[in-house]
Amino acid sequence: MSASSATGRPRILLVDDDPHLLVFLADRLRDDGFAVTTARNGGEALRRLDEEWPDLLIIDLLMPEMDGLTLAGRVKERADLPIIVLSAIDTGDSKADALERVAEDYITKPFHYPELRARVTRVLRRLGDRVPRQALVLGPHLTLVLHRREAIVDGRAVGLTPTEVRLLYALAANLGTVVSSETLLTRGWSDTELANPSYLWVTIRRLRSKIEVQAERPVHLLTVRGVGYRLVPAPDPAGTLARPAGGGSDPTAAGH
Amino acid sequence: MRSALARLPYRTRLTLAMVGAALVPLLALALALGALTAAMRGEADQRLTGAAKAVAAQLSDATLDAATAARVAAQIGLTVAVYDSEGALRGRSDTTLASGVLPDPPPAAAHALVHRGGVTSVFATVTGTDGVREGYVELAALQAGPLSADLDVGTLLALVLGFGIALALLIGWVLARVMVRPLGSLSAAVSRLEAGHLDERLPVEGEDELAAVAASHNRLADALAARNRSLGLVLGAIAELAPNRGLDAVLSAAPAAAAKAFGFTAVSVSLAGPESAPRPTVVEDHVPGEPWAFPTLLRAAGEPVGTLWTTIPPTREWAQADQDLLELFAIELAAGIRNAQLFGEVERLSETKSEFLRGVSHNLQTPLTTIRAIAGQLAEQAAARPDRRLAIIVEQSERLSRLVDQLLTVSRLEAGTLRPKIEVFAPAPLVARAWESLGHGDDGFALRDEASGWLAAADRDRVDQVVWALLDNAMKYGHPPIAVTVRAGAGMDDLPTGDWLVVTVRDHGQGIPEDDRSRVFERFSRLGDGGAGGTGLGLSVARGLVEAMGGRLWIAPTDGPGATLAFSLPAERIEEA
Repeated sequence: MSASSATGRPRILLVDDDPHLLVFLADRLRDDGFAVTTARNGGEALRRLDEEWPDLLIIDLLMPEMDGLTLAGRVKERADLPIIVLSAIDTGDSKADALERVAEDYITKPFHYPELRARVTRVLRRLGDRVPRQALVLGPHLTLVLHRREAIVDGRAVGLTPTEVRLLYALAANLGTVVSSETLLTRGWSDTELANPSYLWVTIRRLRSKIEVQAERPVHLLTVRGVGYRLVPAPDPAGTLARPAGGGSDPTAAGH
Repeated sequence: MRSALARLPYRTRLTLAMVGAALVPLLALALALGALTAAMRGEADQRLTGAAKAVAAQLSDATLDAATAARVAAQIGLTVAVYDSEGALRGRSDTTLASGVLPDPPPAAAHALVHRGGVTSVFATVTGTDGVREGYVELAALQAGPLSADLDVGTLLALVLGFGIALALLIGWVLARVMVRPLGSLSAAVSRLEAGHLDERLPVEGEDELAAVAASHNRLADALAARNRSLGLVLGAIAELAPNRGLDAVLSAAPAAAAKAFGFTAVSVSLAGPESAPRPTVVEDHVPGEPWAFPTLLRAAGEPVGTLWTTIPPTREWAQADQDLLELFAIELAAGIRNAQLFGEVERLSETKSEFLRGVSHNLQTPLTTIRAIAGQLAEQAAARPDRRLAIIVEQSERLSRLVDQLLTVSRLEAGTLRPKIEVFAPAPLVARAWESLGHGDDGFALRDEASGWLAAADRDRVDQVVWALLDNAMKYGHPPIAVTVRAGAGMDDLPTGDWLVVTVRDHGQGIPEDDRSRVFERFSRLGDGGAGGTGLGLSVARGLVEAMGGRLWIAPTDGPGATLAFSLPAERIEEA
């Protein structure tokens, strides 16, 4: 939480055109220790961003004047600020697809407040993971394009689920070093999902069958018995492994 | 005769023609020879007859015996035989030529001419001065002619003609074979051309007619290959008109495609309709040596769609075949434009519908979220003195938003745009939470989890929707206790191969009558007079959702009263990875 305010409380900018929901959510989030500012529409939100940079943005998808998708796009142009989208639609809609590209997470209305708080916590946990927002070449057979939620395995694009993407973000941020199972569980699942290590095991197994050429003999996603997992680039005898150009050099472009 | 001749193979006819041509001089020669022979014989016969008459006159009153015959023969240098008046031979000068026999009947007053074996004999009557017939005299000589007496001219001619015909047939047959051979290779080349070998050409040797035929065949093959190429180009151009990429894509792809396929210098497409630009109605005729612009009307299903304007360069020849291809292209372009228009319209309508549903959903769900959140907060604050009314507000607002969600899901299932997000999770806690949200308390509900060691691989939110619909249905149409069981099973309940988790929801109501079982999953069907007033969508949506996740939803057999609904989800075995 590098960008936290002086008080140490994570700052959230909440944007919703429904005043009742806006007030209610702001109250609940403040009660839970967040520094919350609110905006009633996209224009106001952009002005708030000029004044102060929050740690997290919560945006309603459907708003008059400027919808949540447009606002999220504008924000992402300026910096890679994590965004949670509130939406009355869920997956499978054409807008939902576009939304998954710009939003770290989204929550479907109607939602229980604890669900939202759990998502907020999970997204904020990931703030320390700095992974360049571009293709990550891990070897001749594997390239991860996490912001597009896909992996390119042997030249073939393979879709990744949101959980798989979250796990890969956590692993890629610590490329080559082990990430504990506990950390991965808190990154992959929110507290309300009642996840246990078996979720992680099965998800890792499914992930291997997607990104490894031979799932039984993984070369990228390795188990560190009793500790956790690590993601490693494949041994590259030809030395042609492309390093992501400019990764980390631009502070506004890097980081999740 | 002519048609019968025409039916003969060409080679036979050619052979016959050559034999015929060869026989004409031969026949003429034979005829001339015959005529000459006849003339010579006539003359010889006349001479012989004259001589016979003279001899007969000379022998009048002479003794007709061998001595006389010899004397006369010596005198005139011909073979002479004499006969008495009865016709008996009295003597002859030699035995080889004179026949020694009178012809039957014997010559009367004058003479008789007899041809026999290459010998001509003339018999004349010898009459005494008293006018009484004294006997006969025969003068014989070798038959006159260009050949020897042994060889009959007719036989010779027949032999020569026969041999000549045979030789002519043989030579003609061989020659015809040689002459017909280039035609055979031409025919084979045409067959190969017909079979699609457009790149094969005939060798052109010399400058004769066959060479001309070969050259013209090659030109034909060239022309066919060129047509084939332009047809390929046109088909390629048509393939570039992908109506699913939208009208603009079709309109921007068409000119370049047409220009490439036909060699046009300028192509434009104007759409039919009020907004289309006014176009010249008079088309100038094609002046050779100048570029020519002409329109092709685009029609789809009889309706004008637009006009294709094309300009051909002065160097380009425009044949009927080109026109045919252009019309083919125009038909496809018109269809492509029409399809793109319809496709765009459908997409617009579909997007309008999605927009509408998003709006409805948003406008209903946002206030419901607020209502539920605030009621929930109030209930928390009043935890010391629980107020059941607040719980009812929470439950009912949740129920309402789930029903709105069902409507949205129906439209997704219909459009086939529902794409489940597959994650792994344990279904039992999700079932417990769904029951909790219904607000019926803990009584009358039993959950048995027999699937330890397994996780479902499905869309969590969608499974929640399914479980809620089944529980809601069980409460509405059945009676408590509601028993939910989660089992892991491979190969049970006629499930397909693979690992499955099966969730069964059993109520203790009246059960589902056999007759209604197929109707249960129909949309807007509500059985009996449950009266609880659902949307009639619950089970239909639930089945659609389960199937979208790769599972099945069915009515399972029930032991005792009540109904059991079951659904399967793909399962993953828990193993440390």
